Amino acid sequence: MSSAPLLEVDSLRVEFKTDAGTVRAVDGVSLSLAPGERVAVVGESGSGKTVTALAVMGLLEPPGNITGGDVRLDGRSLPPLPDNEYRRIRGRDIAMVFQDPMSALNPAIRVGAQVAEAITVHDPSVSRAAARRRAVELLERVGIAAAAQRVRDYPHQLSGGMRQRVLLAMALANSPRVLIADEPTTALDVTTQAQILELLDSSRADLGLSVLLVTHDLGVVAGHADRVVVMYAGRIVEEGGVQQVFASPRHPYTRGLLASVPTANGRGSLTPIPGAPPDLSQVLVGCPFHPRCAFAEAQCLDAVPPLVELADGHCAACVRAREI
Amino acid sequence: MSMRVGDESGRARAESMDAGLLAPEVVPTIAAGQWQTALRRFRRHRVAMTALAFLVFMVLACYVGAHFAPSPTEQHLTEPPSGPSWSHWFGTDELSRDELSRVLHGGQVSLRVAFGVAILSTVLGVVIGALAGFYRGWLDELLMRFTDFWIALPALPILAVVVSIGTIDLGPLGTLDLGSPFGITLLLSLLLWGSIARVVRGATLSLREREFVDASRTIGASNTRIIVRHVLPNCFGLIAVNATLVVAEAILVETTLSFLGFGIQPPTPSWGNLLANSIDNLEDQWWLTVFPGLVIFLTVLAVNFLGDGLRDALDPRQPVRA
Repeated sequence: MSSAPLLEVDSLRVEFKTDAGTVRAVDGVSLSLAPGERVAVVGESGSGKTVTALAVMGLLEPPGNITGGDVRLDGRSLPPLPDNEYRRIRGRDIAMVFQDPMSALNPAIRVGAQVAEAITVHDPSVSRAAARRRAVELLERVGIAAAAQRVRDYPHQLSGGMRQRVLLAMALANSPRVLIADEPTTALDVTTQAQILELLDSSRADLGLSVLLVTHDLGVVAGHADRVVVMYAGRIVEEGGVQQVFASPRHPYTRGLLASVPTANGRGSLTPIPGAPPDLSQVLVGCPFHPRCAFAEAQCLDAVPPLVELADGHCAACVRAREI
Repeated sequence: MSMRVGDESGRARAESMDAGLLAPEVVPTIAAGQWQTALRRFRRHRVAMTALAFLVFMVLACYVGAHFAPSPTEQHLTEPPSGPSWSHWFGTDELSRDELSRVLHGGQVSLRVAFGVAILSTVLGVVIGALAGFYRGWLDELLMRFTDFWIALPALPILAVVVSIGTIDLGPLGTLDLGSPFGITLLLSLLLWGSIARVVRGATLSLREREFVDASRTIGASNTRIIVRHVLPNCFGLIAVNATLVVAEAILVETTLSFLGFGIQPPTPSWGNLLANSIDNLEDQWWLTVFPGLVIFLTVLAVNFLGDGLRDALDPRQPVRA
């Protein structure tokens, strides 16, 4: 890696203690984010990508718990921080945008006040009027027309895309260095998706943000990430540059994901991955993907395959990675 | 979700349908743009509007009208008590004092106590309920078991005993006369916060799971800020309705206490002690019982109707009381 990582997740392990047993939602995930870099974390529901994001924000709630590994920002370990110090990092160093803009805004508060709050939370000395002016600027920057009037609107008066822009304005209010976008476009229609992603990219360029893009949509990844991390059953199964992974996927799961993305010409049938992800409250034997894997053989049951570097920066956790 | 596509009102409808069908425990939040809708609904609620008009009339009569009525203390010991007449609408009492005037002055005290209790017990209940619902865990257990215990106490005998202590010495703060309007306000507030605490706890339990709470955490908001700015404004409807109902409850409990002789002590008139003092002479001077009784009855009824109207206007789907 050329520059020192800004954000590092190091062998992170997150467990949820439930009545049905301990669920290992994230199991030894490591990833790093360099300044200005865009890393996409891809995986289906329950693969642990959102839990990883919440762990980075320090927002896991019981029964969820970090049981191993570390999260470092500028080399400083975050999980041991008491809440009042963690709070200073949230929003100011690491900000987050949620999946559903319909529910992530408080319905009882005007959007301008919500954006202004993101500013005053970290700097109570900012006057109301100054915070409001800044809120208008921020809303203009995320492309809300007539922002000076819009600040007086309530969330339900805005469309989904506009609400996502408001959330982005809140996230950018304190010029964070890392932005975690958790499925930022899933709840939006396709044209709005493209606009929001473009806005994300231009904000990144303007502010020198690093973006951790959590998504299940490989189509989003292709144009808006530098590197991809593919997660399955709480582990990383493949990691590499976008070109590398898309051109020569080395893990059967990644291949399955790519095969299930519709192509632009609409020809060729979609190939779904058979089966369902494993129950993470059970102890898994061998490779977690083997029951669904077309390439599985006896040795897949022996042990969890480690993540092995196959080419420069391109890793996969599959015993047959070189053959596939 | 194909329902998401469509005009804004369609989307709002779809969302409220989702909330109603899929998650019955979800507290509907009053999006503040819906205040106008709520106001419109309230205005159309004829019973509640009548009740509101009556209450406004009562307050004006007690605080303004009382100045135009005959003196409540002027006595004509030579004249016997008289029934209702044009000069004394509610008649006169055993000291020939104008009963209407006494009811109006008693109303000043009773209404002040009732509104004071509503405010104080609401503050208490909201703080306890919000803390319990937001932090859950042992704090919730502790506060809610305490609330259960508190609600289970036989309130009237305990109040009677406490009031009969009379005056307590608060050291540098001076003394507190428990039989005074202020003392009774304090005691009734301590008695009536329980139901509000339960309602607010329930709403908070549900609201704290909403995504906008997580979102405000990600901008670095503290728990206090989240409770004050994001949770409580969304239970405003519940709080307002319950506070209204506490007003009615406070009037009734104050009346009961006075009736038993433990409420606000004469010579300060209150609706309760007017009623209590007249009951012995019910056969000879019926007007001294009927008019204060009627005023209490109508006021409590009006407050309850107002509460119903508020509930219907603010929160048409949810049963409000715990």
